[in-house]
Amino acid sequence: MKTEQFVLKVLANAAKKRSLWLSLAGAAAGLFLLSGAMQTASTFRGVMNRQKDLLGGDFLVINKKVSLLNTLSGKAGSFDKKEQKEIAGWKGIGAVGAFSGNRFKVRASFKTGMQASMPGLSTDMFLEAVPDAFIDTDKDGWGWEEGDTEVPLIIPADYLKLYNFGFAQGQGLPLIPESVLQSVSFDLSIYGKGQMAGFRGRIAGFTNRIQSVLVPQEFMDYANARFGEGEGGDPGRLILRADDPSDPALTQRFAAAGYEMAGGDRLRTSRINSLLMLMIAAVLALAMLMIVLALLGIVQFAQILVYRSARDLQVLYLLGCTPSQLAAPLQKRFTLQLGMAVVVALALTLALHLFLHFGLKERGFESSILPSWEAFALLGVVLPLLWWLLRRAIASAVREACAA
Amino acid sequence: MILTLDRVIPLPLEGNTDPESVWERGITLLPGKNYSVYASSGKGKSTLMNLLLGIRRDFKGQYAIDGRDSAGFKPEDWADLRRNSLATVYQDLKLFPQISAAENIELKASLTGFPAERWQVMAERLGIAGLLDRPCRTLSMGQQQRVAVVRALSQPFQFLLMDEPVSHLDQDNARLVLELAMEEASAQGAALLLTGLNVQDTPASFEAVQI
Repeated sequence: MKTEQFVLKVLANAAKKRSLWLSLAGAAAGLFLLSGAMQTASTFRGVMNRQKDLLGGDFLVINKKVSLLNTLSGKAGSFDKKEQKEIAGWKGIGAVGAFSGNRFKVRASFKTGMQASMPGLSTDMFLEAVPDAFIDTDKDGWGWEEGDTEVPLIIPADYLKLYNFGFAQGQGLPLIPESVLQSVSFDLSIYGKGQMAGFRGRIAGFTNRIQSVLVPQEFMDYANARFGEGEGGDPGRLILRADDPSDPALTQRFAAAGYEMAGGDRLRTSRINSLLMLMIAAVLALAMLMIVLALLGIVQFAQILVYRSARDLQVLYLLGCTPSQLAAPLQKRFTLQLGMAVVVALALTLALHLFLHFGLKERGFESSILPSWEAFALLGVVLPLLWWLLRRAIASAVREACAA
Repeated sequence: MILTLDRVIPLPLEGNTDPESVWERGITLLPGKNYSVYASSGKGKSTLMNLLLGIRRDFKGQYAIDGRDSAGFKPEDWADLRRNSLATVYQDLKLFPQISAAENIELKASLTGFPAERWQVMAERLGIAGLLDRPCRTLSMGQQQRVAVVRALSQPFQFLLMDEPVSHLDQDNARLVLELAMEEASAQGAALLLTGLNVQDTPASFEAVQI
């Protein structure tokens, strides 16, 4: 009879198996929680990133909070050069662009009769411009050069909704789809410095991102130079490109600096994001706790096994077996069982991944078909540690039994 | 291989040792010689055996093997010595009762690479060949004692330490065991050290060790 077989035979009779299976089930559950939480985090992060990509850029618009104090001081919350530079240096901020406003008078008018379905309408308005790099609407037809009589505009999608669902319905006026509005042109008159010029205004697109009426920067520069009165001050609003606009750290930083971030969806995403991360961190902590408890269970089982067969192990030691020779079969057996727990955990993680992937797909979210490498990397880090602890515990228990 | 006890006094015997004893006088055990240990009960025969085997380490003084102080030996060193140099029959035999006599011997033989034919011949000589398939717990003490002797001899050794190996045997079987042990020891050029013999039963070639 070989020593290894005999050691296993001796140990097999030494303890009840149920407690071991419970511990192993605990280990499998803990490992699954660990990799499962990682998988979930990475799936949701992936979904959020993809969604941002669909929106065509990661822009944020910020302004200073309007308070009574800065209203009275007259310097109503503008960003000076120093502040702009400072924000540009923040972690996670890619580029900073300033809003420039009109220093001339603008009047838009729809001529009655030209569009039979539209009421005659004329209104004073304001215009703003941001550098082209920040425009997220389809850029075809965007841009302006001196000599062009037509000026493209981007208006907030909400304006149209406000008209359609607020104003038009109440007044018995027809609803206007986006495409119709884009084909309508109107007169845009500009006054200043005792001069006047007329242009044709055309709606080039709608945006959900910027609550303003935008014209190309070139047009704004040209018109301000020619018709503008007074000096252009510091911008009251900034447009930023952020690596991750839903990053809770960024949100907090803005709040701390007293800046407001436009776009409620951003804030909501940011909050959901930070909640999700908090929950996942809690699950990870729970998983670690479970793994530690399960490991304690397994180690204790191994120790009881060794102590109960201490007499036999001692005799084998006296016959000439080394302690490591005696520990080896036990270590091998427990490694195998830990391996089984890992296989179960991996299978469950994979199942969870597929469940999330197809579940999200059904709800119209795209996520990667490949499982998260982080989940497996985490197991890859935790497992050798567990294996080493288990081996050591068994080796020292056997050594103790031999020396007794 | 030379075993040297230099004023080795087991802690439980401290202050209670005979000035003529091996503890006070020390001893050097040489290869190729036969020793018989005499002592009245409780004077430390088994203690001496356990000490020589590295099982007991609670003593003062120095126990050296080939000039190396055994205090620095690791469990691995002792395991190596027990496999290759120190063959032992323990007083309590230390057989595994749940497996057969043959399996008990095989366990040792597989550790030392000792050929089965050789231990089977020895079992034959001691009259236990027909019992080898029986679980050890079903054998009489005398039969178990002979199984333990065959197991002890199933290895290379330079010292054969036998703690009361014939205490449960009749005279004929005791003689057979002694003859086999002396033959095997001399074939390997090894020393034989045993306890439990009466002075009148001890062959003349044995040197007395008084405790």
